[in-house]
Amino acid sequence: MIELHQLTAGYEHKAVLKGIDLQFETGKITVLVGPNGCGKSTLLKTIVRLVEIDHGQILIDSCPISSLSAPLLAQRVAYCAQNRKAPEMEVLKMILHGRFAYLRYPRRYRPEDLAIARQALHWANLDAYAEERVSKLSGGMQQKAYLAMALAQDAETILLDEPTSYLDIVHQLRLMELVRTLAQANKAVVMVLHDLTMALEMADHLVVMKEGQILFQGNPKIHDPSLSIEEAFEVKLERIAVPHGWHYHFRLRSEGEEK
Amino acid sequence: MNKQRHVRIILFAAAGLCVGIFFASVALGSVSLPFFKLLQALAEGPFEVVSTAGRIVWYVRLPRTLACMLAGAALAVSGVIVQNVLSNRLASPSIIGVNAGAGLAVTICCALGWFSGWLIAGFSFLGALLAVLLVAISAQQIRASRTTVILGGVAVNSCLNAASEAIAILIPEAGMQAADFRVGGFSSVAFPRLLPAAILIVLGLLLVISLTNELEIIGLGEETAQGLGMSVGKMRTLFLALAALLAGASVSFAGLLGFVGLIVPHIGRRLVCGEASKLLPFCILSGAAFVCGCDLLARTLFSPFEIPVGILISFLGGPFFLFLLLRRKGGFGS
Repeated sequence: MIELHQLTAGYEHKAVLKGIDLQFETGKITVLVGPNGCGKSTLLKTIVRLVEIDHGQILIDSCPISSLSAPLLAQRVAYCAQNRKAPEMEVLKMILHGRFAYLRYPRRYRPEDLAIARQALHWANLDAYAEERVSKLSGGMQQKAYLAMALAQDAETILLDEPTSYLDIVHQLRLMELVRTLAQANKAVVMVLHDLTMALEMADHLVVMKEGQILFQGNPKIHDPSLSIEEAFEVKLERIAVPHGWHYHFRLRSEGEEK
Repeated sequence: MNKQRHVRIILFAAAGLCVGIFFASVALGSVSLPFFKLLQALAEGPFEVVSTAGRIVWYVRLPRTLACMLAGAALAVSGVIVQNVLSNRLASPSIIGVNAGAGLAVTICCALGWFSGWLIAGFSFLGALLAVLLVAISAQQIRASRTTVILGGVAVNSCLNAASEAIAILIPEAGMQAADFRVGGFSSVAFPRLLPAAILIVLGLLLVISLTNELEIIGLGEETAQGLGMSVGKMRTLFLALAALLAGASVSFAGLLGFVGLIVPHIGRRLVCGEASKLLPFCILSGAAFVCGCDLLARTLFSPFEIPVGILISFLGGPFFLFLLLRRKGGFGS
């Protein structure tokens, strides 16, 4: 389990995250939402030490992340960055690099690493593309390949920064299906999403952020996050009960309308 | 399986080409040696040379051929490293000032009258290292875009070349071989000057080969590499030092050979894929064959005159590179 205690972090003395308290539990999907620049991606980057902590701490199973070496951290936390490249590399080879943290110099992949990579390839339904170059795949397929690489990392927590950006609806839904299977496999999945409807549907634990702080956190199926979402995004949100849950309708605030 | 076979065939072809050009380079020139005579000359060994053919092979052609091959392999691999680490396909040691940094260091050595092979190779490496670190660290500090990195590199390149020119003009001893050095050439290569650089290049290549997976992963971008458990900062510095070592060592005896570090990796990416495990062997073999082949042409085409190989590399490499670019709709990276 990952715990963030009073976390303050940012770039060049400008705090982007301000006193965040948060926990990511295994078997659950945590979704971070908030307007652009509110610190969602910075939060994920701080966990994998791409951004330095100013105050507070991040614990992985009660162990501060600063005490872990880069490979040990990668064995605990897998991270899919927002800026993903489309390398001229075979899909299976890229997935195999998910095993990098388990090797010592001169890092040569072992048969068991290949077996795990093949399993991840199969899990992502990419068997037919094993020898294709990642750069030749569609955006959706590339995203799946990155997800498979994260799975091959065999980490307890998987951080996904905007995994659905630039994907059409079919690929978004397929990807979310895969994410759900990750949580069912007892992984702690943490996602940054811009699509609020999808975020509200997927989240076991929703975190609404604004200006580096948390406005709401909890299960959106149990606790209504509408007011916090309205405050964060400055929109109006209507939550309508439907047979199997809730339907959310967003619209711009009209002038003079109350917050 | 088909693709693996395709890559294997290309690597074998590159190896065959490399061996063929090696023998052609040793056998052909102002005095051509038939194959049997060449073998006889080689059999004499370096320490008991008696025949004229033996002297030609051991004192002139062999050092020159090995120099060409080492420089070609080193510059091509240096190009792969720089491109992967800076995530920029337009980067190459000659474009971002690495070669120019080494060139300035060699010019300073000559101006000071230091002609020892080890000193020149060492200074050349330091010059290249300073240039590459200057570009890479400033790019990282300001989170520069790919275009800015290239433009910054071009500016560094220009400043360093200007400094070399100024020294060559002000101190004539430093500029004695300036013309050949500026465009790159192997006419004055001898074993004593080649040996230190050759050792550095072989060690550098072996180390890069042992870091193939790291090179591939760093090419996935800083954030992904860090997420996979790599200490990106340390690894980036190590790779840039290796790129500087390879480029610097080759500049110390071959001069400012441009273009090799740019076109050979690009051709490799087209033919064998961008994975370092396939690209590195291809670049070593074809970089060596390309520079050696160009040098062979440079000294035989207009015999008894010889043109500096750098000129020929640009003549042949430029149109070939343009052909590759134009064949692909939208160019590379599209």
